Amino acid sequence: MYLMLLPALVLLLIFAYVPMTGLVIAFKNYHIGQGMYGGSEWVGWTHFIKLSKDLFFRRAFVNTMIIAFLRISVCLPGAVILALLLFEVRNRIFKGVIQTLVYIPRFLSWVIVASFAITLLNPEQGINVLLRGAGIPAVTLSSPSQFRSIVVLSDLWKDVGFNSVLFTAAIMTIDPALYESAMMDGATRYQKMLHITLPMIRNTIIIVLVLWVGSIVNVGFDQIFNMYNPSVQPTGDIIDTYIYRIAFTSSAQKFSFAAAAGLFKSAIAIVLLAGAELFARSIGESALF
Amino acid sequence: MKKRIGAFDIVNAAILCLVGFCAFFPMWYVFVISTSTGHSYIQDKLHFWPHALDFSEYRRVLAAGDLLHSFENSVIITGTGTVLALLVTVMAAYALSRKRLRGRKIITPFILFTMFFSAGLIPYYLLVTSLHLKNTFWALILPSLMNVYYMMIMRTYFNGINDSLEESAKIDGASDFRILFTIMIPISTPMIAAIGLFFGVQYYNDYFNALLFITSRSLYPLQFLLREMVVNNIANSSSVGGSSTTTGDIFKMASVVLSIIPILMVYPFLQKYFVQGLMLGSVKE
Repeated sequence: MYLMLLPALVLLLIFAYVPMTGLVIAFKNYHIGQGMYGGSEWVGWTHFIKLSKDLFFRRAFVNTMIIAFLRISVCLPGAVILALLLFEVRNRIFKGVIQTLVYIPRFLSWVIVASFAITLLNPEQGINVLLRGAGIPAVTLSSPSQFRSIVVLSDLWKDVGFNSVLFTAAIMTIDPALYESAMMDGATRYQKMLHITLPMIRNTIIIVLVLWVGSIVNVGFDQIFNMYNPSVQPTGDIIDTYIYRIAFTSSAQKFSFAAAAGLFKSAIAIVLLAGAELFARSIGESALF
Repeated sequence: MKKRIGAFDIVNAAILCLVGFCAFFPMWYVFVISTSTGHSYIQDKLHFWPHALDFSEYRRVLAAGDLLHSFENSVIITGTGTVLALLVTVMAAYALSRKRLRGRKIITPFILFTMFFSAGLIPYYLLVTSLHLKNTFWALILPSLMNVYYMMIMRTYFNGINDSLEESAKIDGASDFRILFTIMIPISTPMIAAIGLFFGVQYYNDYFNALLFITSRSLYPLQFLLREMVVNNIANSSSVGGSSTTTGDIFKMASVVLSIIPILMVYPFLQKYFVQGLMLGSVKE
């Protein structure tokens, strides 16, 4: 028994717990080539104080929140509506085709989805040629004002099918007798969808909402990292991309400063998750387990 | 309960057709470009319909060899990673699901804590570097072998399996490993297939660990090569389209299409498991 657990525990110890001890460098001045724990020079909270005054970090924090808010307010209703519509389809073949089509994007990497976005939004080709013909300004990945919408819509494209599965599962558990009695009362299908299906999956919707809010600071890196470019940093830079940039692309690799930003992010994450779980418990569900 | 097709059905089908079209269109668009010739690419800038259906850039991609080599790397990483990850995750899940395991109450929080708090990118990078895993496939495989979330789903699933099944095997003197591999795993195939699919997709689609830890071009996994080629626009000018940017674009799109094909080929066989797995995962005790 314990032998079965051993690999998992060892892996967690090495790849989750040892790095936590490595967080000490957030309180030191790390120089390249110093091993995992840096030198012996302690600087206390210096990096955190610098971080709180860093305009670019503040901007990244605000962007993270705005993009997350947009994402939740578009992608969550999108997934619910898709599940509701799919549930009403009676032709099984048609349903199967649509499901397959909307699930596939989930299995493509963000590298591939980003290359779709780059290609589709090429200013000289395709859609933008049409738009120009209609006198509408071009939609491109280099426009700061359009970038957030592109991020949210491409996320919708990739994940809406996958996210809808949870709601489909919840709809399946609804008692068919409810629909039958509603039919006796002469309810139309639209009314049944609105007054039976939707209320019956309310709790699932709330749990998913709470979970998404709980993971605001952890999502979006792969997507934005593959789609952004320096010209959209004012609106598109999020905490994770900021940390990566500070650590790996600035000429002086500021590992200590970046580690401090990472620790700050993890602290926000744990508070958000705990809040999410408490809220879920207060309505009699558990969001996490 | 046969019913007539009403206005509701028509509106519903129309919306879903639109949704399906939107899901399909980007893939189609990229395919059209990938089969263009330099001439047709400039002629029809909309790329909504394949005029040329010319696969010569595909041949050039395959002849250049980079993509195939990276694909081989990805297959090795994905295969090894998925098998090992399933082994680690399923064994841990089984052990934790049995009430006879003493110390469950202490071990479980130790595992769950890592879901809530992570050290972040920098300590992780320094750790993998100091383990001398840089420029090895192990840097891409080991860190994601243990997935707490999938383990919890698997554990819940094992919890639901009746004890009486293994009681009798226990009486016959079967070891825990025997019970797991000859009884529990065979009756959990759908769930294991689903989790295996998620692991497989995760390994196949990973580019970020390669970005951090792989500098040698011969070790590039596929997604990282694509990222360099399409997203970062870095490539050997000899392999991508030579002097012309137009054929360069076609070359890139042919590479993208080629790297999607394996997913499209495997997907139909696994779709049913993934839907099942997700649904089982969402049903709580």
